[in-house]
Amino acid sequence: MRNQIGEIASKLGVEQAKLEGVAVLVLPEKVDSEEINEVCDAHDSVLLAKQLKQAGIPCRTAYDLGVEPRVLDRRGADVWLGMLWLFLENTALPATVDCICDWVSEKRNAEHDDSADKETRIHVELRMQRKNNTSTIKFDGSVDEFREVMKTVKKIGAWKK
Amino acid sequence: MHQREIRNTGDWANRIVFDWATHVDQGREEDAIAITIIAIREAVSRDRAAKTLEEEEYILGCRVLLNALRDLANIGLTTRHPDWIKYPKAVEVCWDLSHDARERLTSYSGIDLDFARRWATRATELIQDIDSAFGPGLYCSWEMEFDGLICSICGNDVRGCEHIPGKRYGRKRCALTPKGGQPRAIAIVENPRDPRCRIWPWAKRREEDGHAVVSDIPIFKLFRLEGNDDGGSIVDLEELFQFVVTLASQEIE
Ligand SMILES: [Zn+2]
Repeated sequence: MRNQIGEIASKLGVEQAKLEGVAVLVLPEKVDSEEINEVCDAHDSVLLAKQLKQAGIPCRTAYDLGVEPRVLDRRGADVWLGMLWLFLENTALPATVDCICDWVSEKRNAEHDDSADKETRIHVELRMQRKNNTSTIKFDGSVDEFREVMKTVKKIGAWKK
Repeated sequence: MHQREIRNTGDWANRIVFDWATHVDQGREEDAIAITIIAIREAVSRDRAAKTLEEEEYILGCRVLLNALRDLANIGLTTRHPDWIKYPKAVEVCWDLSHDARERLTSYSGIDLDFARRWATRATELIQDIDSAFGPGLYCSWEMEFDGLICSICGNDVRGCEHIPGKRYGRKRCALTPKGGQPRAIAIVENPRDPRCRIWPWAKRREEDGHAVVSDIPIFKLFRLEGNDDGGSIVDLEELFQFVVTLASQEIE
C-alpha cells in the first residue's frame, strides 16, 4: 500500500501536516489521476461537505485548501460524491460516517417518495487512511449497500493498531 | 367529501380551499381553477405587504398550496375527457401537472399533512396510470459544468461561506445560482432527477432510410414550488385534444 495522502496533499499544494486533525476530505472526482485544473467537484459532494461542516465534523474540501475546481452537476437521481478520504484514526470518524449515511438517506427520501423501482444509486471513491497506508474502495451501489460499507469502515476505524 | 379533509391552513386560505373543493366535487373544475388563480394573485399582493417573517412564511405556504390546487383542478378538467390517455398533449400535460402537484403537496411543510397526502396520492395514481399505459419510460438528463455556485445570501462561492442551501437567514432563503455553466453531456436515463423531462413515444419517428429519430425532447423544465406571480393558467382543451396518439410510433425502440 502506498501512502497516497502525501501525493494528494502535494497535488493540492498543501503540506501533509496541514491535514492534521481532519476526519474527512471531500475531494473532486479523479483528483489523483487528472490534472488539478481539469478535475470537478461533484455537485452533491459540495452539499455533503456543507452538511458535515454544519454538524461540526472536521472536514476539508479542495476549495478550503485553495483549489477552485469547477462543479459538475448531473441531472440524474443518482448521488455522486467524488472522492471521500476518511482518516480512520480520527476520533470524529464514527460521527463522520453517521453524518454521511444520514445525509445520503435523507437525499434518497427527498428524491423518491414512491418509486421503489427507480433506485437511487451512490457513486463514490472511498479512500481510507491509517498512519501512512491508504486503501481504496470504488463504490457504485444502492443507498442500503452504501450504508453497509460505511458501517464496515466505522468498524475498521475502531480497530486499534 | 373533500371539505372535511381541510385543516390548519388558516382562515383566508381555508375559505378558498373550501370553495375549491366544492367546485371540484360538483365537477366545476373551471371555476375551481379560476378561484385559485385569483387567490394566487391576491397572495402575491399580500406577500408584498407582509410585515413579519411569519406572515411571509404563511403566504408562501398558501401560494404553494394554491398552485397545487390549480394543478389538480387542471388535471381533473383534462381527465374528464373519457379518452384523454389517447391524446399525446393531454398525457404530457397530465404527467407534468401530476409531478408539479405532488412536489408542491409533499415538499412544503406548511400544508396540512393529511390533506397533502391524500391529494398527492391522487397525483401518484395518475402517474402510475400513465406509466402502465406507456411503460416506465426514458428521460433526458443533462450534465453541466459550472465555474462555481454562488450563495444568494452573501454572494460568495457557497463552498467558501457558512450558509446552508435551503436554510432561512432573516427574510431570505439560501439558494444556489450556478456561475458560468457549459453543458458537458446530455444523457438518456431511466432514473432522472426531473421526471418532467420524459421522452414520449410520439417524440420518436422512423426516417425513410430506417433510422429512428427522436425530436422535441425536453432537456430542462423550469419549476418553482410557489409558481408564477400571474397565478398560472387553465389548460387549453382545444389544443390538448387536437391529435390522437398513433401508437405505430411505439414500435420504434
Ligand atoms: Zn453564503
